[in-house]
Amino acid sequence: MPEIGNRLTTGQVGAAGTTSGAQDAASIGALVLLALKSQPAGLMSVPKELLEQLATAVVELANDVVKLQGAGAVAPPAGGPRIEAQLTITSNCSQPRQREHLDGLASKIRLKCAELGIKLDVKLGVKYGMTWQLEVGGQASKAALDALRGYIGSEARGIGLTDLAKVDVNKYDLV
Amino acid sequence: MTPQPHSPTAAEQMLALCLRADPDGARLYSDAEVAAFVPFLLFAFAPAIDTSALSPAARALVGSLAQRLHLDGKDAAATAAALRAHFAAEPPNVKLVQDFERFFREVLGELGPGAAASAFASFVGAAAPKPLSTAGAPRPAGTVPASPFARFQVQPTSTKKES
Repeated sequence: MPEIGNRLTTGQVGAAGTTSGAQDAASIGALVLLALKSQPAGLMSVPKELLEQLATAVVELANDVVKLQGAGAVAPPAGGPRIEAQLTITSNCSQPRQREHLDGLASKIRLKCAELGIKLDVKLGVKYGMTWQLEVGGQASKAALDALRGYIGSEARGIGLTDLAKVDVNKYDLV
Repeated sequence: MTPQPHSPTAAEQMLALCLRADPDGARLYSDAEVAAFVPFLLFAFAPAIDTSALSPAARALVGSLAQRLHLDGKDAAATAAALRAHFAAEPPNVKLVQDFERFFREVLGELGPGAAASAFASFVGAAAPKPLSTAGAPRPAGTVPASPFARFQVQPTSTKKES
């Protein structure tokens, strides 16, 4: 581990071990974060009590965000013909807590899409008065879509939507 | 049997904040706004961040900003100053920052009143409140323990002037 302290140099980046001498964004990123351990930038007022409490969650969030943002660049896996899919998860519960659960579910579905290498739009909106509806639409291979449907079903059960939610494939056309 | 709903983790809640949508399903914060906010958040938590737990892509997200700001060769103080200047000139989405600050307050509230009071004290620059008396120490002379009858135990003072 290079001694961070005082200067962030190309030499130190090389010593960090990810690249042989050339500047590497990942290494520089790690070095900058290490440098700020002793010299906080004071960008946001985060109480000391929260630093330790949420640091791991912040790391997880950063990893998830880049995973999501890279999803578009991931080549779709070979899985036979691609299909146009529209999945709908409906919840009849009008409580705000339900909306939070569906928000969380939408995030997880986006991450799963990234993991499966497919790009689907995930939209959460209110339909028919107080009925929440989560829509997942786009093109995917049948194998990926089946994997996604299984995942959504199990996650919906995980947040207690078993009797409130159903996963429908409204459109399931070959394109 | 209906399974118990699991409570979302802190990371899941923060990701949901980044991906918040309006009632029509349109995202409140674009990918670019979220991508600009994440390094800001990581820098804010830098004193407690385990960089080895960050994925290479997440480290690169921070690193590409560092490269853009020419932080290579700068010392830690200059790095911090350059980041402050950058985020002053190009602040992250204010509403997204406010969403996170609200979330932090909620988490702080869950940690208990002591944590919130201590955080507030450090925010205003006050020292931590001192206990009124040391536990187990002898009671100062002339004082009585609090009770409904305490007023009857107080010795009358003779300092009152008679008019």
